[in-house]
Amino acid sequence: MDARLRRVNKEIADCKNDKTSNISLELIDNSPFHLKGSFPGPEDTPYQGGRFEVDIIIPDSYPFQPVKMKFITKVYHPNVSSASGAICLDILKDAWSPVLTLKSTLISLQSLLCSPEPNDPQDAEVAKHYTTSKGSFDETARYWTQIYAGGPGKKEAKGLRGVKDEVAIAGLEKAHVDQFEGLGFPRNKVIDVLRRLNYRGANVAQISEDRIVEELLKS
Amino acid sequence: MSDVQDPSDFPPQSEAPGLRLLDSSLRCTICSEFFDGPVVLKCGHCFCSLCIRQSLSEKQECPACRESEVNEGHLRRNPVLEEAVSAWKQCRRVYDSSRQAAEFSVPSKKRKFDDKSRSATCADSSAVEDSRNYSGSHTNTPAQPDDIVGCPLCGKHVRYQNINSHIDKSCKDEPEPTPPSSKSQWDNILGSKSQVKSSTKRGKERALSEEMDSPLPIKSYDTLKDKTVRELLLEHELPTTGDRRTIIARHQRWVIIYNANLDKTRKIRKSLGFLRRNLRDWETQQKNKTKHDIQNTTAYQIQQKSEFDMLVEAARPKRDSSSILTASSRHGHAAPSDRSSSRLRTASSSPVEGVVDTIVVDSEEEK
Repeated sequence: MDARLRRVNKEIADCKNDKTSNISLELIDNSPFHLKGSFPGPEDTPYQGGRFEVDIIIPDSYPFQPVKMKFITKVYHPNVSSASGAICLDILKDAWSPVLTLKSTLISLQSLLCSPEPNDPQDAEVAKHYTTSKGSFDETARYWTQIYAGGPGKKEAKGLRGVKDEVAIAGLEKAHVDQFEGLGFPRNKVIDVLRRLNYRGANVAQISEDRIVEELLKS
Repeated sequence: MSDVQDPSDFPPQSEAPGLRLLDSSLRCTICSEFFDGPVVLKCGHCFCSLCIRQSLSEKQECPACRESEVNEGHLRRNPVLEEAVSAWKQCRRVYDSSRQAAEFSVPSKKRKFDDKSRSATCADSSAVEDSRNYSGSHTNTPAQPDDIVGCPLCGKHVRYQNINSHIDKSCKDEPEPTPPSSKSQWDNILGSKSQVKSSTKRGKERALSEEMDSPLPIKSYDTLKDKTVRELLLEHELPTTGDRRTIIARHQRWVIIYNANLDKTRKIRKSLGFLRRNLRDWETQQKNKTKHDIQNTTAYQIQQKSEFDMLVEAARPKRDSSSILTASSRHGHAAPSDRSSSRLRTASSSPVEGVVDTIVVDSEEEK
């Protein structure tokens, strides 16, 4: 049997046997080289309580080349693309080592959620949000965890579960969006522009309303 | 999965202290098999010779501690560990058979049952291990930075580096090595199926007579001509068929398995004939893996045109809708607000898509 297949089989069995790490691996489409991994959001972070799924592709030359991983679950994090789930993590690129396993790589992803690296971002907008107003960022990340990763919801959250608030997903204040929508701009356009300008938290004072209207007209 | 041995074959730490730990500490962290020709790096970390040589051919650092500037010259054999591994393999066989006796009354545990039948049928499990190490395993491609491009004149697949000389010779540079010829050369070297036995014997004799003691040096192929590489292959009685990429890969792999073989104790070393067969199997596997490599790119493009067009179409509407939206948002107020409310409605029915959509539009604008 192929050494790669032997090793992957062992790694899957290892994850199954290990009850403490709470990391799971399962097959997608019957090939042992295309897997779905999942792990719980780390505690004391906005991701707590969510379960994050990762798409794993094992290349031909594994373990000498890194595995390909991206988030299936949408994550609001500076080093994860909010659109595609692409991950910016050194061990998935040039810092890969053949002694790393699927389990240890998933644990590394878990710890990436604990300690974002906004200076080496995958998603520049999210990173901007993180660096300018951490509190507001945390709230948005928590909201994303709640609606996409099945995290615990706030009690006062609107009765209808499953209905997602676009404004909250973008991490914006409803009052701000309403204000510019009131000027006659389409709501989603307003959300786009405010998000791009990072109209959040302390940054609100830095951006004049004229600038926003200008952007809204331009776009 | 049942035929994969790993430390969890043993009871947990609480029941049998140290057994699992012992089993896992005698395994290479790259292939997670028992050490096969263990070697030590200058940092003290230990791997199978074949594993670490392959790893070093990708990146010159210790996989465990990332100590840099490590190369093949730093590898030192570890015969003591090798003995420990072979002793432990023996213990394992005894353990397996005793477990077989103990658990025969509990056939419900399927995995263990399979284990039993395996250990029963393969009395000599070291033979299994060996075949594992040599036939199917360690199938990675050595790093090949040079790309293959299609010749603009004849459409043939040529290494980028050779494309100019290929065109200069009006596309008639080297006789196209057809797979059968490569196969027949392998057959000549290894002997066809009927001759396998005699060729093995020949190989063994050679192994005894030849002093396989000094490792082969690693070549920098970029400075070597095709002819020189072929000569290197001939030196070791290896086939010289195939394009430059194939022969370089062949020689690279040969150096790795040859040197890895030297890191074993003399009595368990394989014969050169065995290594050659191993190399041939590896090459066949590589060929199967790269089968989906596109031979003729232009033909492929034509063939896939409909799919490409479809993808382009799928990508376009978003841009269109956003531009329509932009255009209408400039005109007055009533129309855009209608549109936005309809968009909002669709967004609330499938919020995920809505978000992806807006983000995509967004990133386009940023560019």
